[in-house]
Amino acid sequence: MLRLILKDILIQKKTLLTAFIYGFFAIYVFGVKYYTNGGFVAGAVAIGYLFITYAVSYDDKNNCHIALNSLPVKRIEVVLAKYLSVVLFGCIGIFTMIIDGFLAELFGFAMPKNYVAINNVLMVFGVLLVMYSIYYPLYFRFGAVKMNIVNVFLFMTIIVLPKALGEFILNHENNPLIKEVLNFIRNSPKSVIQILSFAAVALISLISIGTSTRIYKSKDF
Amino acid sequence: MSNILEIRNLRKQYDKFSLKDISFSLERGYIMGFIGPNGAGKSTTIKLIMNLIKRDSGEIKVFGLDNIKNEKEIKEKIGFVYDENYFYEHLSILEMKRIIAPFYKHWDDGTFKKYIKDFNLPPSRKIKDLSKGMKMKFSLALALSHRAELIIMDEPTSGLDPVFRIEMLEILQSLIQDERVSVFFSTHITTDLEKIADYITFINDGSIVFSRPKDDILESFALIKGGKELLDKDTRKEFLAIKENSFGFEALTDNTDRIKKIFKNEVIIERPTLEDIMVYTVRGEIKCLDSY
Repeated sequence: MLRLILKDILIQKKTLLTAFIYGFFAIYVFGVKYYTNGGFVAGAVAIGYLFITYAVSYDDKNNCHIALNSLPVKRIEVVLAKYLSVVLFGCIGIFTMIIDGFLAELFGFAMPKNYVAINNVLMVFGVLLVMYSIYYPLYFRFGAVKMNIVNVFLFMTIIVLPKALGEFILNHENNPLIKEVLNFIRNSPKSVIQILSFAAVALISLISIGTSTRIYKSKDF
Repeated sequence: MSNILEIRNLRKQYDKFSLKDISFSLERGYIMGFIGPNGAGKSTTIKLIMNLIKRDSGEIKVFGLDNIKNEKEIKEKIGFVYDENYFYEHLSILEMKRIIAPFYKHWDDGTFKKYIKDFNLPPSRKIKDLSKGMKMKFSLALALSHRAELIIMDEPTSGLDPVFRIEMLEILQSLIQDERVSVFFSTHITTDLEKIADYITFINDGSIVFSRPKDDILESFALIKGGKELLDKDTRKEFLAIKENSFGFEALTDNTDRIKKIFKNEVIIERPTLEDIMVYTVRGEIKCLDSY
């Protein structure tokens, strides 16, 4: 399985350079402009998105699933490798944003405080895992070309959603359900919220892995 | 002698095509040619062996093991060459090799380098910039570099120049000098098989027509040539298929003795090629042929 994950990096070494440049763009657009930590999360998620999109596109472009499944690997390994790649690409995104952030600061950019907070790091993994838990079952069923629009839509949603959700909550603060949820979040210890978030992401990922495995195992190439 | 590949009652149903309970086997140390017209089921059978598509019923054993339950173990010892390139086209030969090699426990880099050199393949050239022949050579180099015991090839010679086709056939022939290795080779270029195959399995419209030693096949069939006046309602029935023109007829039989008895010296009896057998057998199903 590690060989499959390594393969996803080896087929797109050039993406590393793109990611490095994109990091500065993300810091400027999402970070400096609004002076928030959003630059770090958005940048790392976007870099993860970039790597995953290239990996699935290259796999589909030459029908490489035929070659991959002719190698001594099980289909479940192909599926698991794709999900583990999400974590790896999340790490690359985080690492790139740390380096870019450091360089941006060195060149005199005013960086937000707690740019690399643990919450931001966890959020990158959470966002990517939820995004690709939705995407991968569709990808394994229909392929990258047909699902490209879904991938773009998910990414745009993730980028736009936090601001839109924040505005929605502010405008509907008196809604009983929103009030209750906000009270629960405000009154619960931070650790409880973190555990619940972790459990939700884990559950969504596990359901997605199960679905993708079932789809990919029965697929004809 | 142990079977390296054994297929029993294999079935796969599609909307417009089905593989109908096919059975055949291949012993260790031999080359089997898998022939049939386009759409006969050759690629479907190969994909089923490689577990690229799911069988509806039947059994596939490779090295005596079920091809699904023991998929990983089996594929360690299979070298595959397909009719098209399924590798990452934007990578170079060496980059692609670096991806493939770690998947095999018995990868032999020395053997790979030897083939790359023998085939005159430029290691740093991108796969998309290789000619069809070069791509096929590259696939062959990968297939032969991990001590595979069964080489499965789907139409490897189609679209290749005769020089490389001969070169490839010679490599395959040298491979089976090692009696552990077998080659299963689908093609519609039957002349290639006449040179190297030990066994021929002929598939048509999803059914196996025959799976026998090549020499037996060539000996048991005969091509009969004679004048048109010899054909009537009864004599036509003696042939598997008939081709007629204004001068006479050519027909295929699998019962030469009976033809000799009926027609005596009035006909010419020739040894058919595999292509003759394939074409006549496929057409024979139409039963009556005026001309083609």
